[in-house]
Amino acid sequence: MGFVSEGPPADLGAAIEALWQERKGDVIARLAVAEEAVAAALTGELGAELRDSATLEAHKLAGVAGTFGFPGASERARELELTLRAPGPLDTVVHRMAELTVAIRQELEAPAAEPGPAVPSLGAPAAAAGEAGPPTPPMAEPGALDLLVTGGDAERGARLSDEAAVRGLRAAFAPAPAQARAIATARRPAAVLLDLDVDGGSEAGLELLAELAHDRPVIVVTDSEESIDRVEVARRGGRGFLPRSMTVAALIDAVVALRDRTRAAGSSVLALDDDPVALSVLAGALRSAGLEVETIDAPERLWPALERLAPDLLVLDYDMPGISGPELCRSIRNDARWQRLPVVFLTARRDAASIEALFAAGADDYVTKPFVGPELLARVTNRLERVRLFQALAYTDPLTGLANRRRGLDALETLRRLSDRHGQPFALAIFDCDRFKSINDGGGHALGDAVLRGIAAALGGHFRGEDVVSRWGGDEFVVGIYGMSGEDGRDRVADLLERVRAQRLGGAPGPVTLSGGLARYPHDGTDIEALYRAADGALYRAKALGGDRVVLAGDETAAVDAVDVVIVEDDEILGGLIEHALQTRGYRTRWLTDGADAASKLAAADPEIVAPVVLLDWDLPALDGLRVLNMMRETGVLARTHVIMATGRASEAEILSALDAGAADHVAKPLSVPVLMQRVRRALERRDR
Amino acid sequence: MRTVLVIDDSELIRAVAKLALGRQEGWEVICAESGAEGLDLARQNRLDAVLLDVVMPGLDGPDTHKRLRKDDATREVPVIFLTAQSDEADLARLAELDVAGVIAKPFDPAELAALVSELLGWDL
Repeated sequence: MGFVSEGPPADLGAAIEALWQERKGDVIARLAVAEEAVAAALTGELGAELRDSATLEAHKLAGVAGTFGFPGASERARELELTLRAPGPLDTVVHRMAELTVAIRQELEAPAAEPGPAVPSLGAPAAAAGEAGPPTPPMAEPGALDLLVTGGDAERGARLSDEAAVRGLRAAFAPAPAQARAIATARRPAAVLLDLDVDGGSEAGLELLAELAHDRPVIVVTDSEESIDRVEVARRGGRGFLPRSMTVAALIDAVVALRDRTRAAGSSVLALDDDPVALSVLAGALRSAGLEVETIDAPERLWPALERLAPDLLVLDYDMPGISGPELCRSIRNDARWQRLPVVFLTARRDAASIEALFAAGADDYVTKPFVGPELLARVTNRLERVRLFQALAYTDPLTGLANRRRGLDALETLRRLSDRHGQPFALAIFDCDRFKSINDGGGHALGDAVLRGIAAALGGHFRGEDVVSRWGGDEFVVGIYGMSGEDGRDRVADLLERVRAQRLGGAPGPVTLSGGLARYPHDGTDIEALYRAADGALYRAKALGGDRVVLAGDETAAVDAVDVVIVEDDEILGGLIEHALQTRGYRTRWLTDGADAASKLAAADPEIVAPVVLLDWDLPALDGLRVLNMMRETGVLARTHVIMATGRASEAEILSALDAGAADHVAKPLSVPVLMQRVRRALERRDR
Repeated sequence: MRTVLVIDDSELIRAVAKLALGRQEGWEVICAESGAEGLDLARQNRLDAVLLDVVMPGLDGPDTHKRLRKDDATREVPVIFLTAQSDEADLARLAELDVAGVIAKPFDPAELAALVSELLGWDL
């Protein structure tokens, strides 16, 4: 029994996404029960009945959210449930509960991610183009290609791809440039055979060439009479020309030869054989493939040559005067420096005992004499390729497993180009750990390392597969965020900061906090270096403002003592929650707790505090919010200030009189922090325009 | 034809289970939003399996399970708990009851049918 025909797995994902869209309002509405409980707990007034129903709602939410693709919300709901369920007062955990409900709402209300193109992610091999929407089942990795054939006549293209498959290459044919781009992104072909005769003419072909040639060799197929500028092809990264008149088989032969050359090119080989004729044949074959070859004809010259050349591979003759190849190989393996050096033997012997002796001595492979160039070349390049696999580890930061600086840079560059091509936003963020030195000093380097690993795990878990997450050394992490505007990126980063703060990373004695700087492409810089500098400037500003926040590049030019948002709120817990949420998003805040103080600092003709946004509570000690508002209007301050009035529960009269008095906006208590953050963000964006 | 009864007070979970299991050829899915309604449906239908939520108002999962086992008409129906509980001890207690298995919520809808089949030894 199988799936019914109308229901391949992707359809289930779509059906569930549709169900979520239809019903998420109900789920979010029920979250209000939990929020109400948290609001009551903040004032110490949470009764048993509300606590029980909030516990139940949290439990149900934990079960539902993850099923619809919100595992983070499930986790938080679970934590909320367990917190509420634990007996006893909640006053020590009430802030955490507030953070949890805020985060759950944010996650559930977040619009579905933009369906971006598949991007090779850093941590893992490129994922297939993912569907938007949470519950899409993961698609199988289609696997890397050896060869992509594109352009030219479709029937011939298909035959080329078939011919390549016959030679054991994983090959695909893409008739049109758009398909070629998609396949190149998703399946990272090792080489491309491009016929410049593509839709859109040779200019389109050259454009495709430039894009594809960035990451792999591209061989161009063209009519020899065609007036394609060969210099232009080379300039755009083409690795070679093949005439269209070649047979399909000959074309593929040429591709295979080029692939071997490219794979091995630049590697150095040391060859030892007492037969000068064999040596020169061997050197010729390997040099033709772009390898650097050094030959020696006597065993005693081996050690100095190894020291001098530090080759990538050694070719050894089996039978030599004075010492046998296997003996020599064994002594090489006994030297720690050469334990991993690939060794390929040349031998005229074919008996089992000799071959066994050769492998027992630590050989990696052998070629029988008289050897033929192609076989030797294939064995040598295979060996070298395996070595490269090990070298790929050099691109990973060993402490955290994240991409290191070098690979991070490459991947950021890839994202930047994708952003250009697909018109998607791209932002670069730098993070570092606040007071990292004192963590290291206080808890030793073991704690420091554990904290860094914790940060890496939090970053890795928070950003999406197509984002780039890398560690550039010390406590500096660089992230490329693809497909999000700067403001959304800032919210996402602020989310991360809140998440990290809430954890005890690496068993640190206190909360570990991060600061972040964010730069938008191309707004803050048109290349990675400029973006990095802009983000670094913003990071510096985040630090100067006290850390534990993210600052957007461009925002950091204002004076440190400037204020973006004034909070006038007498409730300490609520005020603190709002202030922290604003600061995490990089806003500079002032917090006033009574009406008279607010009136004197905000509503004077030449006020002490000037801020574009004021969040004003209605109920205040000394002087109520409406009177403060009226005074601001009388002195003219209101004309340049966006006042958001926080009014009591659904009191229409209060709302109307606040708006009449000149408030630009109002929010009803109990406050939803995410809603408030959105209103503030909108108000500040309006001012910036 | 296999008939699976889903008893869960969450409308969303019922809807997802119906989507995910109902698309299996030859599977029929019926739903109940409470233990009491579930017991009624279980008596009226010849069931091949019951997916049973644990925390429900009124008759909860273990209560419902107990009653299914007491009634001759439903005694033999395999039951799978569907639970958002995460505490290992709670889960272990559930698994000790006479059930075919326990599926943790949240679950991946795309895998639900396979999980159920595996627990019941059905060919998918």
